[in-house]
Amino acid sequence: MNVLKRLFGVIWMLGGFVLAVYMPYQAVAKLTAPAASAEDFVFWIVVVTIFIPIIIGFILFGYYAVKGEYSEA
Amino acid sequence: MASKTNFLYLADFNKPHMSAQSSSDLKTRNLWKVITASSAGTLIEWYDFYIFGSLATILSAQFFPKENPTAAFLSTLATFAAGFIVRPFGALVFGRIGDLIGRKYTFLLTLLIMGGSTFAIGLIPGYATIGYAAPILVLLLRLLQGLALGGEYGGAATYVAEHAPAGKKGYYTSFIQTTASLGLFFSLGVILISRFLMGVETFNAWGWRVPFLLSAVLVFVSFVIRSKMKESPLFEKIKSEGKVSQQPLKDSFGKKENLKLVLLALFGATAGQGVIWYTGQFYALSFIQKTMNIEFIQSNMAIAAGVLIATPFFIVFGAWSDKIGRKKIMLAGMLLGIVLYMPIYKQMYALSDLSAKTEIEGFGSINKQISVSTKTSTKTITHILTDGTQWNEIIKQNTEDESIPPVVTKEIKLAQKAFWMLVLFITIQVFLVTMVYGPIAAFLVELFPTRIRYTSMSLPYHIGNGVFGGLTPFIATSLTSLPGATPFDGLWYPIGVASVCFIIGLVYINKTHQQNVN
Repeated sequence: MNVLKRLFGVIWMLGGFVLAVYMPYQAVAKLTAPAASAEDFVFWIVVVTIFIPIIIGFILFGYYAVKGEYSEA
Repeated sequence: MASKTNFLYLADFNKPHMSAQSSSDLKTRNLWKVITASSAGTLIEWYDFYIFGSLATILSAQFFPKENPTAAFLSTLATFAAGFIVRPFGALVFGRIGDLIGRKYTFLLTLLIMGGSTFAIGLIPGYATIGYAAPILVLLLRLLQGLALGGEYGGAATYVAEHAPAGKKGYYTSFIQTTASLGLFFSLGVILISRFLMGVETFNAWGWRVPFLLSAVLVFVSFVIRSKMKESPLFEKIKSEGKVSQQPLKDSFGKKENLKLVLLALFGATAGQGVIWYTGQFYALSFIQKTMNIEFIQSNMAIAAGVLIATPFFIVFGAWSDKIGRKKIMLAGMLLGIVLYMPIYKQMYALSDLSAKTEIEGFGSINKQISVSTKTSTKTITHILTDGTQWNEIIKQNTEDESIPPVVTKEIKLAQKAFWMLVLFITIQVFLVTMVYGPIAAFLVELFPTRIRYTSMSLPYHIGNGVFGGLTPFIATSLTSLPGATPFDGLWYPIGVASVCFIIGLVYINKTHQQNVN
């Protein structure tokens, strides 16, 4: 189980990095579209502002898992 | 004589026994007082938070007129910011105070802030009277509401859990877990009763203020009850021993030993719980109204019935988690959501799929109304179908400029059998909510030590519930609006988040994460 925890940790870290790039990219794409409204603006700013720290937390979670912080003795 | 001796002997024998019994009864009575005081306050806070959302249409007209872009912008900010940004900040601010000063005074403070803000919203003159000051004041008060809500739940759950005996924390904290659903009910009930008593016109003109003003009375009563309660015994104990954390934020999030537990709580429990909670109640309502086109009263009745039927299971699963563990029940709820959401929503959709139904020719009707004030004509064509379903085709046309294309909407009223099938599908979803949400307060409380419990449990709860859960209707709706998307593609968001959370919970949470709180 400890090996599985570490292996999954790599997946969480990679997933976090992908999201950290994909989310701001999506936000820029939506906000630069001609049809972007004030609501889109607020929504995406809020989503990016609040999700980036959460994604950093997710990467950190993966890092701890890889380092064996969640392993059982 | 002998019998008298025996009697005295029996009396003496029973004395210590009865004393222990009385002491136990007294403890139980005190515990119920603690639960009542905590739950009532939390319920009122949820009520305060929900009435703003439930009256959003009226509040928009009063404070955020759509024709004014700045006011509309402030309205959107009030919707998103209060729910998603401010709640986690409230968790940090009040969590810290709760671990420094005490649970009791902190959740008295959150109650006053929430009640005061709600009451004040009911007093603010409209945009027509004081201009921009109106939406700005409402936005500020809404932010205060979000802040107070962020601090409330952790305090109430911690307070109850720290009073509850070992082995029964799941059962006793589950009463706190019912308050979010009951708060929604209560807010809808007060609004519907006020509207019924005053009439729609009076309610829309000024009567909408009554549910806000009523909050002052509710909060006052709850404040009086709560202020008579004593501080949590566990907090008192660490305080007397000088073990209170001096830097709860640093101890919670600046130290790896605790931060890794906060991250585990978020990604292995509360994120999945949040999406299951919001899908079962709020996304379901949005899907029924916007995708299935079920008329307003019937759709709300279906949700209300589902919530009512399933609510006792919060307590059932909370109590059961004391026996078999929190993890199994919460993860089972997530797994069932992952597996069942698609079939449930496809079955729900089929109930209102008109292409599979046959119309009874000659039984329909046409109704036309012209409104001089709004300069529109409304034509309603009613169709009756063989299974008892009734659907209205509503065509709204601008009477001043007929070159503007008419707005056509559809409104379906299900037959009795189909309605109860819908209630069944909602009930199943709320049942899953009770599985993930019933035991989670006890799970979070047991994950963290007393000295930083309030801070540590509040943040993952409000990120999981407020951010991951709160964004469900918005993200799911935006997924269904992608090119080529089906009406069910919105479900990939809760299914995806719940799947990741399920795997993390299954692999990483173990028995060492369940501390003895006492």
